Amino acid sequence: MGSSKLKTIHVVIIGALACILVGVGAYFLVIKKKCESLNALNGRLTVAMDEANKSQQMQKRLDATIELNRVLQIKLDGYLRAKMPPISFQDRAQGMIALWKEQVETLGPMLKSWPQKSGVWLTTGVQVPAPSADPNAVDTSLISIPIGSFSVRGDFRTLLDHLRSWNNFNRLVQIDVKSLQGPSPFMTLNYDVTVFIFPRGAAGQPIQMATQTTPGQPGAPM
Amino acid sequence: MRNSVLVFAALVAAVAAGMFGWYSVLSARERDLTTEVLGWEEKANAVKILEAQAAAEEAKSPPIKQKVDFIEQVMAYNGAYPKIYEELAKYTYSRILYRSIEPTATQIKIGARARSVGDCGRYMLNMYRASHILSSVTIDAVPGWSGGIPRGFDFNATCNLKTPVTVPAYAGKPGQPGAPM
Repeated sequence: MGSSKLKTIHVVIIGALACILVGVGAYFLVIKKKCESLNALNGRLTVAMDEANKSQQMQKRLDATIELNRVLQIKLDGYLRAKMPPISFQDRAQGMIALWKEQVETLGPMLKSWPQKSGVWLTTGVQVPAPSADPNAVDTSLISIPIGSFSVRGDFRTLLDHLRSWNNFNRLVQIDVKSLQGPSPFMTLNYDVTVFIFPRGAAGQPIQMATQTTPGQPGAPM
Repeated sequence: MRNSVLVFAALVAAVAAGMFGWYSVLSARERDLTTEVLGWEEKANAVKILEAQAAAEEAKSPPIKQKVDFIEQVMAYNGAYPKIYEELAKYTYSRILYRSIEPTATQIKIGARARSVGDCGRYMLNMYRASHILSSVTIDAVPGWSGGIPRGFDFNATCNLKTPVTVPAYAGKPGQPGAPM
């Protein structure tokens, strides 16, 4: 070392630089990446904790919705049992035939006999319109059957009770009052009746055989 | 000189060891944190599944609710006019004879007969008191004098309903707002 030109000061400077180089190098090459990785993990942790802490709230929301649906479904099932014939359009042809039976055979006699049951005289005939003969044309969300005008006679109190009694009829009917005429007890009440039916379940695919095709269309007979 | 070299060699080794120590601590922390994060993320995923289930259940509600609401609206609608008629009867002066009552969504038109203008006036004053169901009551005319006091006359009363009677509409019908596509 005696012949070396290195002096103590040089050793100090080189040593200090080596320390700084090792420290800074290690920091930028390894430690900084680890810190960034830790920060990213902390970020993920915060997000995950925030989300996980909603667990009770979400469970309550799910339970409340299930309960609401259960109550609504019970209510709807009750109404469907009491006020709707069991018609389903999952098979459109079968659904249409059931609707024919309802409109052609069942509904008319039921509607005709109802006013008498509530103590008023029906002075008009009852006509139920013909159902659709096209299974693809039936509105499967809500079937609306406009029955037309009813004219009934009775005293004021009985007529009002009769109007209210339609809510006990075993089909869902909408009563549109048109007029009330004459002095009690010989009053005449005129109103329109519309029957509503909710089909059960979802509607099935349209029936291809019932779809009209015109010559020249793809798939049409030659 | 030799001592200085040794001191700085030891110092560099100490810095390197320090950095390694720091790295080890950070690595251990990273391992722990990774385990913790994975645990919480598992819980968060469970919450997301719950959220999806809740959303799926919530999506089932509107079609059922729309049907129930429609049925109940129709039944309420059927009861609306009898209620209005009953209230009208309560406020109708007994010496007035009704010939016809024609309701619309917003009005009740009454064709009536009064024996005198006094009866007609009393009828009108009574009807003004039915402010819980009617917002206004007007009658079209009373007769003038044409050589004698009239022995009864016909008039029409128009009563505007305070709350219009709304015809039920099924919200689930395709094409209605909020209906399924």
